[in-house]
Order: sequence, then C-alpha cells, then structure tokens
Amino acid sequence: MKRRVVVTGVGMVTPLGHDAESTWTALREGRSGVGFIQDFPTDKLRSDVASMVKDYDARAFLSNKEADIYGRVVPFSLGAAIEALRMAGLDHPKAEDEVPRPGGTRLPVDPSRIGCFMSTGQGAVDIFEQQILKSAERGPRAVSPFFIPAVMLNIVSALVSMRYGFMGPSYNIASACATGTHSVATGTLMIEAGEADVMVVGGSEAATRLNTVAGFGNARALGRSIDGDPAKTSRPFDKKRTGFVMGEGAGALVLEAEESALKRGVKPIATIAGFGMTSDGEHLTRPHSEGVGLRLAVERALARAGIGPGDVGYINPHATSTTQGDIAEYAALHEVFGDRLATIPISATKSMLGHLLGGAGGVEAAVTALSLRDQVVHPSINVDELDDAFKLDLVRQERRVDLSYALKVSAGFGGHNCALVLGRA
Amino acid sequence: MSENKDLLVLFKNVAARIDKRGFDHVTRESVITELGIDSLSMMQIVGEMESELGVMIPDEDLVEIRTVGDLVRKVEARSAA
Repeated sequence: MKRRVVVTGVGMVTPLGHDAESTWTALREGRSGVGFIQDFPTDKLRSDVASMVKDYDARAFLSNKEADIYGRVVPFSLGAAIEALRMAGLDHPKAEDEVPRPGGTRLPVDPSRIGCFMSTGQGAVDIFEQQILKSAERGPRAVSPFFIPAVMLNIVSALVSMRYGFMGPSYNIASACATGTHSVATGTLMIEAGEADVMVVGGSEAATRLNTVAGFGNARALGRSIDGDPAKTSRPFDKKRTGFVMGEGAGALVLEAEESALKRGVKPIATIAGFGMTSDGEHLTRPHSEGVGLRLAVERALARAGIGPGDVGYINPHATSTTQGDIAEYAALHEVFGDRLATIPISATKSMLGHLLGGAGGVEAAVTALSLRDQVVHPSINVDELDDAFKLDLVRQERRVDLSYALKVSAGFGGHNCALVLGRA
Repeated sequence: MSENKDLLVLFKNVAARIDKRGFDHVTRESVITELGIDSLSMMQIVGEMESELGVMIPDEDLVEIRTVGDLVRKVEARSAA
C-alpha cells in the first residue's frame, strides 16, 4: 500500500506579494499583479505587459556576490522554498548547526531522507542575455566562470540542498508551463515510493526579459493591454481573451509522508491525493484540440486518488487566456465531468498573476492547498463576457466552500500535461 | 615597481567589484585562498584583469599562483611581453 502524502508548508514570491499569505490575501481580493513592462521598450514587441515581482530583497539568504551571479529566478525560488520549509518547521540551515553533521542537525527529519525539486522551465534567461552581450562586446574570456552554474536549471535544487544539507533526491524537472505541477507530482511519487520522507517541490520563473517576451510574442502566445489597462489583459475563458501575460515568481510546497508529519506533530494543510502525467504526442506548442492528453491526465489523477468526478468540489485550471488553450482545456474537463462541470466552482489564478510559466504550477498548487486549508476559493477576474463555448461556474468573488477534493491542472509547450488531486487534510 | 603597485590596486578594485566586499587590506603577501576567494572567483578576477589590460594570461601561469603578488607578477610579465 502506498504511503499517504501531505502538504506541511507552502511558500510564494509573486507579483502580488513576497510570501504565501500576502499573495493568498491579494488573490482572494481579486487584485491583479499585471502592469506595463518598464525595463525595456515594447514598441517593437507583440506584448506591452508583464506581471513582475516588485522590490524583492534577497539579502536575508543571499550574499551580495550571490545576488550578482544568479538571475532573478533564483532569489524568488529560494525565498519560496525557505518560506515553505519554515512553515513546515524544517528551516534549519546547515550553517547554524552547533555540532557538525552527522549527528549535529536540529532538523527533525533525517536530512538524507529530504530532497528538492525546486524547478524552473527556462532558468536564468537574464544571465544568458547579460553574458552573451559581454562576450560580444569584450570577447569570450570575459564570460563569467559562474555563467554555467548560474544558468543550470537545477541551481535552486542545488542551493536548497546545500543550505540545509539535504541529501535525498534533488534535481530539476522541466516541462515548460507544467514544470511546477510535474515537480509536485514527481515529489509525491518519490515519497509514495519510499525514496524520501520529505520533498521541497515547486517551480519558479523570471522570463520577463526582452528576448523571452519577444519569443513568446512572436509565437503569438501573448496578449496586449486592453483599453490602456494592463490588468485587463489576462482574461481566461472571456470572449475577448487574446493571449497570456508573461509573469514571474515562485511557488513551493513541502510534501511529507503522513507518518513523518504525525510523528513530529505537524498539522498538514492538505493532502496530495493523486496525480496524473501524460503527453499529447502531437504538436510542439499547440494543445490537442480536444484535450485528449489532458483528459487522460485528469482521469489518472482521479483514479490514483481513488475518487470519482463527482467528488471534485473545485477546479484550479491551467487557463492561460489563450484562445486555443482554454478551448482544449474545457474540452478535456467536459469530457471528464460532463454537464456537472457547469456546477463546479472554477477560478483562474492566472487572471490575476499572469502566467508564471515554470512557476505557475508551484504557485497554483500552493494556492489550491490554501483553498483546502481555509475552505475558501479565490475569484477569477476579467470575465466580462463568458465565451459562449464554455458553461462554467466561474467564481467572481471570493467564495466559502465545503471542499473535500480539488483538481489542479497544467499543460506545457511540448504537449506535457499534469493533473493533481489535492484533498482536505 | 610602480607598475606592480598599480596592478595591486587593479586587483583590489576588480576583486571588490566581483566579490561585492572590501579588499583594502590586501597586500602582495596575501594568500588568495585565505582572502575567501574560491577557484571560480579567482578565474573571474583573472578574466576581468585580462579584459581591462588587454592581455591573456595562459592557464600554465595560473597553476603556480598562491599569493596576490604571484598573480601581479604574472600579469606584469604578460603585459610587458
């Protein structure tokens, strides 16, 4: 029999707040984190908006040199991981041990049984831009020797494991916009399979730079401000949706074997009851028009959780606000839930935060865990006119719910799908 | 000798810029590893000094470097060449 996995901590660094609680409050209030891009001219770009983290100070856990070497993605991700570990009662850095390890740790869980998948899809794109420019201007010998560790996608999993002396499985899982969700699913699998007792998992991204905005824009994936208002751009399921908003930030969860949490007296926030992971096997960027792969992922997640579609009381969808993506996702969900889909509360975190790419699944899974903890779901904003193609119970204002199981769905470029079923603790 | 002194100043400035901390106390006798400069940071400092001076320090020069003075002498020799 597989081990039960619970969530004992969450952390977030987002455009709406520098921690989980402030982000969660802002989401419940229906606030948007989207603004005009200020860091570079947008007149030749296909998008003029982004959802940016403002004034984040990483000096509590990064030296000035480290802050200089690493891209924006690192402090966001590390900050979210540290917050999640603090909530879980596991924030005991190795450097603060009074007696050297082994034997000296204050960690209440064997560090060789703790691993980390703090993943990113794109990594430090700002450092790529910076170092390539440096090479072009001053020649290849001016490229920093820290360029490689700074841009490797596993940098944060490495930094977390080094900070705490975690010696369990740690690496990066990349599946574009499903990165964070796949990290939660695979972390759950690690604990279920007995490879670890605790996994710090989630995702982060900071691809709000000139060339990544250009690339996504030229792929016709991004939206522009509407009526001069950047906050109106991200509008999943609305008739006037045109594309997603590039976002940045990070979301982390501490997953733990239930018996480990019980043993040390930590109250779980939620459970990870099931997951499903599939691929479309069809197209590089376009989702399957009927959402076949995504439907299969949801069905597998429900089966693994041992529940039926009738048990799901809330859906946190992928919902990027692209024309095709929302249609494919609706098709997948309708196939699973039938006409009952129209009665299940659903709200898109991306309507307020934009699309955090590799960070989206981490933040949205953490948000879903908090929905289960507080028995409250946040609204979806900007649905001025629900697209005729959809029959949905879109949550327009924060709503109290009696929630036993929630579904979190993600899909990424490459045709990668991942669904999670989270349960009430 | 004055060249040597200028290179010492350059080393201090480059190291401070890269490691984001002060190196005012550094002398030619300072042992590089004891300054808390690890191997990657050392390569970064060498790369920046090369770039500023327009010289190339071959890798074989770097294996024998222990003190700041060792580095400064190597850079000076390559600059003069």
